[in-house]
Amino acid sequence: MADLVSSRHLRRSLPWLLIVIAALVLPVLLPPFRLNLLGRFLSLGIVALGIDLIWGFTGLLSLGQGIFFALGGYALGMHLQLSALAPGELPEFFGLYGVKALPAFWQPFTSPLFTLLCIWVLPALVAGVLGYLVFRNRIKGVYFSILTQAALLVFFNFFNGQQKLINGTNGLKTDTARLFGELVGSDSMQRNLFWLTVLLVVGAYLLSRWLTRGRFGDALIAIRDDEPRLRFTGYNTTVYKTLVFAVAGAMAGVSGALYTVQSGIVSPQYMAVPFSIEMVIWVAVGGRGTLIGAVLGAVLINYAKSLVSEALPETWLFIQGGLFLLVVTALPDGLVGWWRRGGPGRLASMLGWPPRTATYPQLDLDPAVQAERSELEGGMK
Amino acid sequence: MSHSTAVAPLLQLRGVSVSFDGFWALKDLDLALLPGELRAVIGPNGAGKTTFLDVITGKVRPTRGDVLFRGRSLVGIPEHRIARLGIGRKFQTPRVIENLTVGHNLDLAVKGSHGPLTLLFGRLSAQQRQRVQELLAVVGLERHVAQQAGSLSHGQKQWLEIAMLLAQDPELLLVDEPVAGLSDEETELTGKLLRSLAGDHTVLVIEHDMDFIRELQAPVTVLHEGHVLCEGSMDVVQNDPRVIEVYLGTETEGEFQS
Amino acid sequence: MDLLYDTLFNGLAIGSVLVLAALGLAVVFGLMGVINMAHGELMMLGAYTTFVVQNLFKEGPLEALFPVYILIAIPVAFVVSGLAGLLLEKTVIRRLYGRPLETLLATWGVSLILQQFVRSVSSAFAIGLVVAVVLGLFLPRFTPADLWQRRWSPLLGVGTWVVSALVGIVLASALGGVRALDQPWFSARNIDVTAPQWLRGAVDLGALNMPTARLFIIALTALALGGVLWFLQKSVWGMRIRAVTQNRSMSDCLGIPTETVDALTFLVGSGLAGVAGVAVTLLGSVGPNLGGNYIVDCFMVVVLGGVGKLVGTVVAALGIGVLSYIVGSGSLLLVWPAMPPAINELVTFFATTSMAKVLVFALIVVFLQFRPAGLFPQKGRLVEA
Repeated sequence: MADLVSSRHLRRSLPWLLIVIAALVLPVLLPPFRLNLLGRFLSLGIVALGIDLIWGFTGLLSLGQGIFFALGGYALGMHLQLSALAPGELPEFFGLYGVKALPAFWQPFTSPLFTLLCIWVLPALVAGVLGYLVFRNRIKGVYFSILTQAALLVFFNFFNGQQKLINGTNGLKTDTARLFGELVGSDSMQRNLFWLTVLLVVGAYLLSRWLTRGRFGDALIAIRDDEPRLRFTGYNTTVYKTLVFAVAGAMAGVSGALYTVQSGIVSPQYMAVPFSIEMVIWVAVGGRGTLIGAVLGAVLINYAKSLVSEALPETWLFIQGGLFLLVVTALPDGLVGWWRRGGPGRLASMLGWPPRTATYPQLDLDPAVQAERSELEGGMK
Repeated sequence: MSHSTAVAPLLQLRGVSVSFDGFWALKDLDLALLPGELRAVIGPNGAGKTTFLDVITGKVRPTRGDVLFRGRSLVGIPEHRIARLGIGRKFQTPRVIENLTVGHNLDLAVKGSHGPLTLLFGRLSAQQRQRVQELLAVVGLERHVAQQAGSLSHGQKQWLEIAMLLAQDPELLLVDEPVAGLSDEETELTGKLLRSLAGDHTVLVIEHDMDFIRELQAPVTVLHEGHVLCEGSMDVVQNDPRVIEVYLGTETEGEFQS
Repeated sequence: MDLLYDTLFNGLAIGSVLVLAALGLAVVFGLMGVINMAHGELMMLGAYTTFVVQNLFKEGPLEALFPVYILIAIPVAFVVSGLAGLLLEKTVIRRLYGRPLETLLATWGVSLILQQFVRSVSSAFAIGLVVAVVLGLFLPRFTPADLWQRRWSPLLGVGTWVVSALVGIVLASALGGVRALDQPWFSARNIDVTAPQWLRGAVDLGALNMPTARLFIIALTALALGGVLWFLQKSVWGMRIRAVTQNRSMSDCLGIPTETVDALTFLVGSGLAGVAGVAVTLLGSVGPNLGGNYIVDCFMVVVLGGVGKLVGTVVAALGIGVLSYIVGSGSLLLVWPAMPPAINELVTFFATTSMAKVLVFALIVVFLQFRPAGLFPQKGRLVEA
């Protein structure tokens, strides 16, 4: 009995132990370049978690998460532009367009505290307002997807076209800025950012898990599967959807900010239409409706992308397109979903290995089996 | 069955008409339900039975007329608010959340605040948990509490949905075809359950199964082409020449044989 | 007055391209409820087809026909894009009917593949691809039949395709050593289509200067629209398509071959994308990214117009065209030179093509708040997701 308890205890804490070890060891093992890549991909895991919340659990396919991702990135980017300046100076690019005074909306970003709030509150607010308007009208399914994509294009064109306000298509560089007196692009700073990313990914994961377990999570699944039914039960589903869309927006903002400081730039390309659809495919490949799948998908696909792009850049779009097709037609539950639903066992049995059957303890504990058994006994009487 | 004017009706439909692009699904429908009443509504296909429920529950807004619940108009109130006022609905085909367990389905439906903050931070009270246990016992699903609702049989799903409806503890229960696809035994049990609910609750049952309705021993309202054709006990209704014509005289299916 | 005509003409010109581009999508999305994100890439195929046809007629025996090559390119592009669409329907979309979100993702994948395809395709690549497909289709025929009744047969099915793909890749890279075969057909660069002489001029009407190419596109749009309307309203197959749209199971019972109808609808919609591709080549150079520039606009047109309503599509596209031109050209400043500085600043702020898009799209999103079903809502059931 003590064995059982301790082994279960171990099994539960093992993943966390591994994460801690990895977070401590990887910065030593990996060269700075690789570590930076890993940090970037992990930060993308946060936006993927948000997409999993709204798509995997609530059934809302947003093709516009890039909006919130970029807003978070821009908030931090603007602050970093300003933080490097002596009083009275303007960020360099303003000079190119003959702007003499700092635009009003830049002013608050001199404050680190405001920026820190803005990174997640601003995207959450935008998502909340956009979501409320759309959900109130009961726009759903593909119409929701198309509308979010249109909104994305609006934001993209706006940021892309406004040189004088936000440096337009060139974006904002963060490498040469200083954070706490240290160069953002420096190796030690990047190592700290890696740790911060790991911490925030874990935090985002725990938050998502808290949201999806329990009755709130059940309500989200119910909205996905049969929203009208829930409404007739007395639930104001609009509020739920708005709330979860705002949370996903906040996650995207944090993700964008982390990604920005680790890749050294934020630009309207973060709001490009293909990038936001890519985010969806990370979740689909990892396994929608499984939180760990979202993070895994984001890291794996981006890692594959960087490897392929280094070796055979021409083939990446073929591979990515193929992934879209494969995951939709053959792996609808994604890798993690496939694993959990006994995919490996099925594969093994195809190859001739006998599938592992559930034996005594598990079988006995299965409620369905118990129910069936007692029904059978009832019939015997 | 005397409609005494002393008791105010719980639900009243006054001249309700619904038009879908020129097609009148309901025409000038008048109907009143007294508190505690058990009422059956029948009618051939296309008589407007489902639209009738849609109007009460807020899914469809009446083109004309008014729906009063405890004297208060329901027109324009969103579905979830109507549900919270105490009107529960069971759908024609069993609609349970298939990817959740039986227990979780009931946890979602059980009476109490349905706001997101309550669901996030609050826990089910002992009373609510007990209510869920009771209902599981009532519909005989205790042993399936941890089973996915999607893996239940058709009859079990029907009963789970009825249990969800009861968990809401509504004053008015609108039950659409509760015994469709059930075995005789299950049908009988459902009838008993609905009869036992009347009195404390007001129950309106829509059903095709005439034997079942006879068993309910409830007054019957016959709908035809969107308005009330006649009302009365089963025997009265059955011998009404207009009803016979509607069911047998026209080309609709001969459902009205018993 | 001149300004009015000028605005109307330019708005009509922008709008007619949108009509043409969105027409095929309106057919596919409106009638079948299929979200085809590869629609823009089917347009691109049409544009590249035009380029190929043009090259055929540039020199050699067909040179005399060069002035009318564009007229020949139209049906050819229709057929090429239509067949590509048919292939897409038969291989991918057919498996996903009733699952619009999955269709959206799968067709996006197809669009990525098509984009890279026109960038990378060379003779070696094409030979490798053909060999791989032929091998994949025929390898199972030449393996013993009893192999296909084993437990692991599904793996064998996957395996034959993997093997064929590998053979194709190896062959393509081996052939890539030969310089003549390695030359990409189009490469990633943009291509330019030279319009024939008669499409390069302009017609002057008073102060209004109307480029012939624009007039040609407007005429082509009108023709395509008329053709689609005739096809859907008058032809036997059009009637069947409408019947299937309204009640699939009933149509099935009446003996309408619904699968053929689906395939045909998709073929027509894709073919129209090809025709739009021809028109787009007259407006400037085109590249592999052509589709991405149009796809969101097309969806907005269809949604704004009301799904399943061709009138809606036309009105929405022309409306967007005129509005975009008015905002983007800042012509309000000309009409009302004495406007208050605040408004003046605002008008100037949006007076670029991309900022006009920001405003117009934002307006559409706001409009859909009040009329979620678009300008011409379809009566009855909408496509449910």
